[in-house]
Amino acid sequence: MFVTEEFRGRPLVDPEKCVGCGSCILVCPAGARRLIQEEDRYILRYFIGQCIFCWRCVEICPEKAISGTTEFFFATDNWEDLFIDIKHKTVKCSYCGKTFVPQKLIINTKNKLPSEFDFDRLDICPDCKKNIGALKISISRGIAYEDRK
Amino acid sequence: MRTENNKTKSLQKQCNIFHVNTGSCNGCDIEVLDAITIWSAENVEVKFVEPQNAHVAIITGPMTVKAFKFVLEAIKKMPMRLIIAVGACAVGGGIWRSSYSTLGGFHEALKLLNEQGIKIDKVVYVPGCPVRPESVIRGFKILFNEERPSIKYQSFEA
Repeated sequence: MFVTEEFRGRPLVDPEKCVGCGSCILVCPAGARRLIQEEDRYILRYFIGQCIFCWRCVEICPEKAISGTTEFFFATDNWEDLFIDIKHKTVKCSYCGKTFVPQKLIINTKNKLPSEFDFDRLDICPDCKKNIGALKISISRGIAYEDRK
Repeated sequence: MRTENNKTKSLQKQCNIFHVNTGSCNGCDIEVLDAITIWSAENVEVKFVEPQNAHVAIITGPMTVKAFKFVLEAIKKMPMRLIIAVGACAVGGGIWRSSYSTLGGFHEALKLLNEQGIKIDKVVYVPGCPVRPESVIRGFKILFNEERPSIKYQSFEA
C-alpha cells in the first residue's frame, strides 16, 4: 500500500484532452492499447490485463492527455472490467467517403495551423490526396484532361 | 456455481493452494510467495499442496502450449475449482500474447476448458507486471466474496 512517488502505476487517459491521434497505440510495447475501427467511430481500447506499466504512452502523448498514477490495486472476477474504452467520432473523406481520422484530430490540427493555410484539404484522405496530386501533374503535362476527375 | 458460502467462509481461515507456473519469468512467483507471507499474518493457515487437496489454484505465466496439458490434468483433479490468474501474462498473455508457443493467457485456456466440458467455479484476474503482493491478497478476498472488485468497465465519449 505504501509506494514511492516514482512508482509506475496505471496510466489514465483524460477523455476531454484526447484527440485520438493513436501515438500511444503505436508506441505501446505490450499491445495494451488498441484501435478498433467501426463504421462511424474509432474506439481506443485500453486493456489493463496486458499493460506492463512502462509509461511510454505518458511520455509520448502530444496533448499530455495521459497522466501516470501510482494505482496498482487491481483485481476483478469479471473479464469486462479489465477494459477502458474511449470512443471517437470520425470524419469522412470528402472525395471517396471513407472514414479516416477522428473528428477531434481535425479540429485540433485546424487550431494549430496558421490562418493562411488551405483548410479545404484537411478532410481529404491520404489516398485521395495522392490521386489528386498525380492527376494535377498529368494535366500539366498534357497526359490527362480536366474532366477525368 | 458449485461453491457455497459456508465453504468459502471456512477458506478464509484455512486455505490449501496449488501453485502452477506456466512459463512465467518468476517475477510473479516471488510476489505470490510475498503475498502469502503477508496474508498468513492475518491468522490464515496457508499450505502449498497437490491438486487433489487444493482449494485454490494460482496460475502464473502466459500458458505455454506444452504446459496446458499439465494444467488440464491438475484442474481435473481439483475438488473445488477456484482459480486466480496472477500477472499480466496469465490474464491476457502479456508481452507473449501473439507468440506461437503460448495460448495467450488463462482466458484463452478457459475457452479450451469449456470445450472439454470442464466447469470452473470462479476465476479472479489480477493484472500487473509484476503484481504487487497487496493485489494478490485482494484477489483472494474477491475470490471468497469478502470484497468488491476494485476496477470497473469504463466507456467515454470523446
